[in-house]
Amino acid sequence: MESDEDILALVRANDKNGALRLMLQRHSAAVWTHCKRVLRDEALAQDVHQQVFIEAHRDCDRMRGTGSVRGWLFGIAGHRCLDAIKARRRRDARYRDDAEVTEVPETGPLPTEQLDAARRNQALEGCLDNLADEVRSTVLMRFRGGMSYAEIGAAVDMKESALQMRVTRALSALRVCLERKGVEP
Amino acid sequence: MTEEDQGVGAMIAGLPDEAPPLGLDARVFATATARKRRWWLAVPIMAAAAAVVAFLLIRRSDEPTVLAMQVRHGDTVHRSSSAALGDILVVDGPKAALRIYLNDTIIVGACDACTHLEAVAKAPGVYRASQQATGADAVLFSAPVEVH
Repeated sequence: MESDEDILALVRANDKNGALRLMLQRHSAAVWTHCKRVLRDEALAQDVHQQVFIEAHRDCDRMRGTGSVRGWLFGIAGHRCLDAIKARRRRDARYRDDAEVTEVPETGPLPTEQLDAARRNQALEGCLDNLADEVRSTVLMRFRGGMSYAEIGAAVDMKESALQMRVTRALSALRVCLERKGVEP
Repeated sequence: MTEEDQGVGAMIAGLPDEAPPLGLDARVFATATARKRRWWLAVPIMAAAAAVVAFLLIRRSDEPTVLAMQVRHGDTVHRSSSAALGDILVVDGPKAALRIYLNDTIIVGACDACTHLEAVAKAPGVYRASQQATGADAVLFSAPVEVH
């Protein structure tokens, strides 16, 4: 992964615009993909993606001395995605339990034993979609954002132990889902 | 956490990123770096603009919207649509070019940048006054005064 020392140097030099430009060049795709995966709504993902970088531009002073830039951005993204999910939930009056994983129709293994990477990813994306929004967000922050449980906990205001439990259960559910699709993790 | 579950974690970490929609980054950059509007700066500007508008309105309200030509007959001055030969026609108004015409063709009284103009009705006919403010295109005419 590319070093973000140059971004931190720009922040230290108080060149916020320069830092934002580099953050967008380097991490926009990751943040965008995260928002889209968590929210599953392109328009909403665009709004949240914008919020994340506006906030990053405004508050990049606070990034000095923290962990990775990517992790910091994922922390903001995680927070903003959860806000968006809550707002959407209030709007839609729909709720799925935290640990709930929707049953996937039993389709059985796909004919070919060896799925190529694209199909494996597609299967994994499908399984991720079945996780509750908060759970999916946590899993993605952990494995895509490379955030520690402490960092995620600070971003979403939850205890590390609860997050660890959430991720463990989610991985288990994802493994079962993948196996049903004929994918060996 | 089992080894298989760790494998799922590795799979998630290896998922590819998707490029954001075209133009999104540019839009985000423009929005984030746009100068914040200093609304309080607008307050004195708006106040000054309001004062100018109020001044113009008040000033305009002082100006007659209709130019009146009065008739002085002896010691009395009155508005009238008719006058007698020898009467004095009087025009008052804000600083402007004032004229008094006979039959809309002959200038019998004129002054520039003045506020008061008089002319003696020496000949019968229809008299009318005009007023043109400095730099203005519009000309304001009075009602006619017929002199017998």
